Amino acid sequence: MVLPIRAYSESNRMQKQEIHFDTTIDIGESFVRKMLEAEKRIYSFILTLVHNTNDAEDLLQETAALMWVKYNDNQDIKNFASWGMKIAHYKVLQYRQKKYSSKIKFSDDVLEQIAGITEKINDNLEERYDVLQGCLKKLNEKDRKLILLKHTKQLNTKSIAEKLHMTVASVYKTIPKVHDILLRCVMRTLREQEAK
Amino acid sequence: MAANNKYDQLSRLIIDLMDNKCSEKEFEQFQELICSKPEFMRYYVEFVSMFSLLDRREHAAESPTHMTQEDTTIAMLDLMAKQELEASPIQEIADTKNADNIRKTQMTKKNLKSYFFGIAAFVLICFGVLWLDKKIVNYHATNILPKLAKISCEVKSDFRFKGEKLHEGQWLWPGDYSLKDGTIELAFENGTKVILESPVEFSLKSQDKIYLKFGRLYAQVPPQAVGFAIDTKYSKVVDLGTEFGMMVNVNGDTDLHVYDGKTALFSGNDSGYNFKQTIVEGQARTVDSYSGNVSNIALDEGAFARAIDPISKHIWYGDTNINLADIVGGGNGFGTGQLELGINPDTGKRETGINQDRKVEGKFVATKYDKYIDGVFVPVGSNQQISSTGILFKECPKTNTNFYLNITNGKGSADWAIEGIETSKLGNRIIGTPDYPSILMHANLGITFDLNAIRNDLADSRLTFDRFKADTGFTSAGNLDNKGKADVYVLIDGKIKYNQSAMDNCNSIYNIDLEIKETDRFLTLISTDGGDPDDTLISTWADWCVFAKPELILKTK
Repeated sequence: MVLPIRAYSESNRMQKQEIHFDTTIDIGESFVRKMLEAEKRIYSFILTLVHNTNDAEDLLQETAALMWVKYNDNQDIKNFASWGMKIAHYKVLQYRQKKYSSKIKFSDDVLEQIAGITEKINDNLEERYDVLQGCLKKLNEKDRKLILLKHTKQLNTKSIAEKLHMTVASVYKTIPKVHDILLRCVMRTLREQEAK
Repeated sequence: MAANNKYDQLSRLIIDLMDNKCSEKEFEQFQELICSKPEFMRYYVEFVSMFSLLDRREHAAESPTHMTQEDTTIAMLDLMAKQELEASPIQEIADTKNADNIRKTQMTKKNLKSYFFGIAAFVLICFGVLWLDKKIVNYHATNILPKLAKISCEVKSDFRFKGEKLHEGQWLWPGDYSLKDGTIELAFENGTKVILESPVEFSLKSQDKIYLKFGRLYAQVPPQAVGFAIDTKYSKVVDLGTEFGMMVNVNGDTDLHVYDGKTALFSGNDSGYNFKQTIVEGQARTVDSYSGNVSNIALDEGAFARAIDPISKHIWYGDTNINLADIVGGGNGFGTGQLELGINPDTGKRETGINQDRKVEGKFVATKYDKYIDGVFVPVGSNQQISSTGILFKECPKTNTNFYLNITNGKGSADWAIEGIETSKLGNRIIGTPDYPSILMHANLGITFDLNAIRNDLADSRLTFDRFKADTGFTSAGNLDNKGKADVYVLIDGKIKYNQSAMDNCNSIYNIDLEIKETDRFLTLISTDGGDPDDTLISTWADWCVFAKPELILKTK
């Protein structure tokens, strides 16, 4: 059924020329800007606690949603990332309650220890990010490709093996090794920078 | 086991854990291992922290958040790596002969790197500023923020978030929105529907809160979403289970019109409300932004867009109903029908301008081309068939089976001109006008409307009807000889719901107001001759029955 269209009536509608659309930064935008800056730290924090990238992504979303609700009430937050990690911690505890039957989860003691260490480490995550880039450059070409395929392309071991003309067993062995090399490089560089 | 071997084992277990390939036993071993030495636990945390940075490099590579320092470099690394992974070996390209590939052979790896660096740097510098706004919009689109409402319908709209145009079907997140043109309907997950008419600026705060900076808003709030609130600069409206419209002017003056249920109106703002009043259905108030005073105003039924037909995109403003006279004239009930067009009860066809005494056998004639009209007939007596499904009007009075005019949208020949005499009025109102439409049903006539067909076509628009209203009586044409005497009936599914017998006075107007249930299928209007003998002169000259403003009263579902 066709409903009747009402002609726009200037007498009972506001005059369009009076309207100036506001383009100032609003709460939503300031939240997103801060979230963009803090996201890596919060994600890293969650991942260390739940050791699963899919669950970590979901928890990051839930954390951000709760952060938004709280931020809407109060924007006076001194350390946005730390605050985000506290909320993430709470979300992880909720998640653990849901997964109470799973045996692949840290004990409560271990979880708290990990949370404490992660919070400290994440303080200089941006610096680590810079250092990691330098260390990536130092890898040989094949190892760098392997890291790219695993993380940026999110390929599984078999697909990486096909791309790099390696055996699956070889890729399986190499992946932890390359990560270990990268991590040692990062740690060494950070120590050197501290010493300076 | 040497410490290095432990780290090898640890890194292997961490990767398996991240890839979801760790068994319960392995996890147990892993947890024991990291608890055995503080440096192992530290190693785990450092490892996963790095893993998280690597895992999220894809975003960084594609989005120049830290353009000059970090991601520019890492983006370049990716480009280099991608080039290395995806490009054929240089010598293979050199072997090919076509022109494109010859050009490629001229690009050494070094050149390629420089090329990508150059292009990327240029792009990053040129679009860096624009990118951040886009990123903010995209960030919302990654579902990081909660989805609050969906654009369920739009009509010629220019609706934006951060300058990005939004369209029907898209979700809205918390944030500020502007509707510069057109009309949109938002559907919240809690069932609340909100219609906004341009120009509007508002902020979506949560599932149950909107800040309306200025503009027109209509809300329909289901019971489960009671408490839905609209804040303005100088007032707040909290829904208590209702339908209401709000208009906020740019200076903050606010009008509230409540169409159903009740609301709580507060004047003032979050720092203090100085007035609270419950506003119920049929009431309207205005809040003065300067003084905060609240005053009564008249409810404006047509002040807000209250439903949008998702197919036709037409808008219902609440002050129109389904006009059955218009349907008789071949229209859709909203004024598209032809005035003075009628339906011949003998053939079911549409005709104009036939004033002629005719006599029929009383058969029910299903109308083929009118989906909202089930059929027409000339009532002749008991057990008169009134629907295509065979429903009978058992109590139908015996008639002389004459009829004179077709069932007509308008005044028919009620205005057959006699100088100085007005013949087309019901009471004091002229019939057959846009304001006072009418179905002229000079006895003996009957018409049945198919309510289901009308309901079906309304289904998508969230509208339905729950009453039939009309005025009935004799038109002033009956004054010409004062010999008229007639009956009118309104049936629902063959049952008498309204009857006015032996009408003989042109000055009387009878109001019909009937409830229509969801399950009711057929609405039948009938005029009979009031027992006039089979004398053509009497029955056709005087029984000027009319149903004026015959409407199905619309409401939102």
